[in-house]
Amino acid sequence: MCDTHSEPPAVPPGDPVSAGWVEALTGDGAQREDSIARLHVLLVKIARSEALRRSGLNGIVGQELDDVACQAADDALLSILRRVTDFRGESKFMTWAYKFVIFEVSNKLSRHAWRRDSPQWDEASWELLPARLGAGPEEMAESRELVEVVRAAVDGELTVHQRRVFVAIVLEGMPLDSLVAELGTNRNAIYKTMFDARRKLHAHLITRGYVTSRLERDA
Amino acid sequence: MSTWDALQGLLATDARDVGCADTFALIHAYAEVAVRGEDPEQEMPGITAHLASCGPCADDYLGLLAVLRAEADGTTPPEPRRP
Repeated sequence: MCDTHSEPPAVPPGDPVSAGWVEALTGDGAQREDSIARLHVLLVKIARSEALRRSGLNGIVGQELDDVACQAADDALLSILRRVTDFRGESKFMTWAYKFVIFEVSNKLSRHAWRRDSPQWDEASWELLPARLGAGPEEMAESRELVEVVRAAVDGELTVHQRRVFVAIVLEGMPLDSLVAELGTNRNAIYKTMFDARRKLHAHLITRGYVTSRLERDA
Repeated sequence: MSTWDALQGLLATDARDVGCADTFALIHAYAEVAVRGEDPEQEMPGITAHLASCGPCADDYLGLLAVLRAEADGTTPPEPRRP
């Protein structure tokens, strides 16, 4: 793919550190190589601290966690070098760079944490819906009706792809980023699919009087 | 809160929500505003709406905030001098 960017990167006025990074990384020769090596060291440090921050959530620890952090730093470095001309100076250069490594750590940990075969989409999954919504045993009757109503709406209102995404995330509790990895797509696409599914279901349930609209709630 | 209220919370969407891609495009600026103690929602309400609804992006944002705050506290290595 051709790089169609014609504008040079921008840096905030009065920020010589960011200007130095941009100049070095868009240059060539030994100065660029030295800057890339310095940047990589920083990214590895940030990746390790971010992986550690998330380690209690995904069960990955020790050498495996460190491997994930190092892979994330490597991939973030490539993303940054590929996109350095996109930097528009809305923040310090390193803040902009950090977001790439945070995202890579998040992405890689999700892929590691959720290992499974094909999604299970059956009666038992639907019975999990009330629990997913925090219902207790005393709400059994209400929960049964809710499951019937939502299931009918999902079957009747959503596309096949929207149903798959809704069931995986809501009923199976699959992390969004894990579904992204399984379907080979990106976070924005899955979020948008889920957003549209939620909006459709909400509108459907409002017209049938099961839930209220925002306007009614705010009145 | 009833189960129906919880369902309402799950399904309700915010029209200001800009999605994951637009949030990623500006999350660095958003985070710096927050770390300065200002309210980034004033300038970027669509990102605030998105972070309230998207767990993965919200967690990434918390990670970025943690890095910036640690850096401000001097608990991570400072940026190197101009390369």
